[in-house]
Amino acid sequence: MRMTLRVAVAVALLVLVARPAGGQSRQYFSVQGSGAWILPAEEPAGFESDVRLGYDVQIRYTPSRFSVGLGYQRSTILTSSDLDVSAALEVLFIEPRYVLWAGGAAALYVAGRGGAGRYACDPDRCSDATSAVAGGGLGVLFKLGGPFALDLGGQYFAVFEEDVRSDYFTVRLGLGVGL
Amino acid sequence: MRRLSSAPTAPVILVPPPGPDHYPGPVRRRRLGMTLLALVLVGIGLAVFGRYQISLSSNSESSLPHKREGLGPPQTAPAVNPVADPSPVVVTDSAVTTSQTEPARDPAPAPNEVSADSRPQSRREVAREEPPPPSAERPAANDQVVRAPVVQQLQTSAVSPPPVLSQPTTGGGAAPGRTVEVAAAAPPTTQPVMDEAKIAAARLAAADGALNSLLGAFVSSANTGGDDGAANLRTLLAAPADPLSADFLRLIKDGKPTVSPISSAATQLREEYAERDVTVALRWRGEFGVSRVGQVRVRVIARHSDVTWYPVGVRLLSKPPR
Repeated sequence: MRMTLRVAVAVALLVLVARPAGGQSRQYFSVQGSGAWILPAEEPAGFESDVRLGYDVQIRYTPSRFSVGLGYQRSTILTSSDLDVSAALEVLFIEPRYVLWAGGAAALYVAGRGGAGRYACDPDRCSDATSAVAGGGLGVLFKLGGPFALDLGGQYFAVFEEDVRSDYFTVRLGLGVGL
Repeated sequence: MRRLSSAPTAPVILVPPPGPDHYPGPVRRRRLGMTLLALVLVGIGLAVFGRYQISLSSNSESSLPHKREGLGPPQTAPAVNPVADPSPVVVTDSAVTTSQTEPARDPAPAPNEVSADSRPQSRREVAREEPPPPSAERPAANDQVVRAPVVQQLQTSAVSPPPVLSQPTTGGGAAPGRTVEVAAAAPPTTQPVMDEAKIAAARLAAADGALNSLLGAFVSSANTGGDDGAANLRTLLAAPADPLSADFLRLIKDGKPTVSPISSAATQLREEYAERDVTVALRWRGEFGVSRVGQVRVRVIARHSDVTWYPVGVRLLSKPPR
């Protein structure tokens, strides 16, 4: 929770200092925050979950069609009001992106994501082991007015925890601000 | 008396007999003396007058400016040395001719007036007296005399109409004096043309310099990009408020493209203006980091004033890419 707060403050500061110059799509550096809806590929019996939500923030560098982002992701993978438990996945990731096509106000991209994550449970019954996270997906960027751009995409990612693999599908909607 | 009267035949050779009548001896002797005196005076007079004419003609027909204008006293002026003085000219040969054949001549004729039309008689006499030597066989001194003033005259008349001497002579079998003019007048027929070509080339080079300078500033400002580049570029555009210019300025401001001229048409010279159409390639980072390339055609315009060219501006001829 403390880490999430720090990232949120950092993102807020970056957005505040961002120049209202060209659109995010024209800038080399940008910050982006996204909200996500997480769907597990397999839901074990007895662990039925409510709606799983998540978010991520990242800083992107876009020199060309290829860009790369560094960020933090927190995704709730289990929440149940009946059981009064919740589990979340925290990931520090790197996300390369390549624009496949760019029109006047939109661009289609393919992206990958890899990083290191761990589970955060409440109550704290999860292990503190760090797991590898990898995934990829597609998305569409929309140019908005000013320094803003909208990111709508989906990713499939997996968490590799020793001999256990957990797969998730996430849909996210983000807002980028050019610096 | 009787002895004198007894020699009637001797003077008959000098003075024809007045008639069938015989003059008395003293009268005949007086007439003989008067005749001899008159002949001596005539001879002296001819000698003096002839010398005067030689000196007069040599001085009066010199091509030196002050002598052409008759400012120098012909009697006291030294004879012109055609080798030492490069100015005397075409006239030199005619001067000699004049001194040999014509006793009186206008003391200050202009060089252009010395032509076959103005002195036909003297040239014909030269032809009779001396066969026309080929130009290659002419003495070096005469060659110098003939060529030097021609070059000088052409240099000073670079921007003036061709001189009269540039008229091509007609007839290969012209009089000998005309042969001299052929050698002297041949260069002007081509030299003014060459000078005009040089002037045109120099004018084109100066216009090109101004256009290149303007184009360089245009490309430099465009490559600067951003607000500064757009501001600089606005001062270089002939019509900044033009829609095409506005689009181009927006592209320069936002896209910060790399601009380079890739092709250029020939410079068009008009009365006061010089124009050149140039195609400029642009490469910039477009939306979402995608590289964009495009071209735009511009017309670089310079204007001529007095002796200098100064830039007018750059006009966009095609719609800038987006």
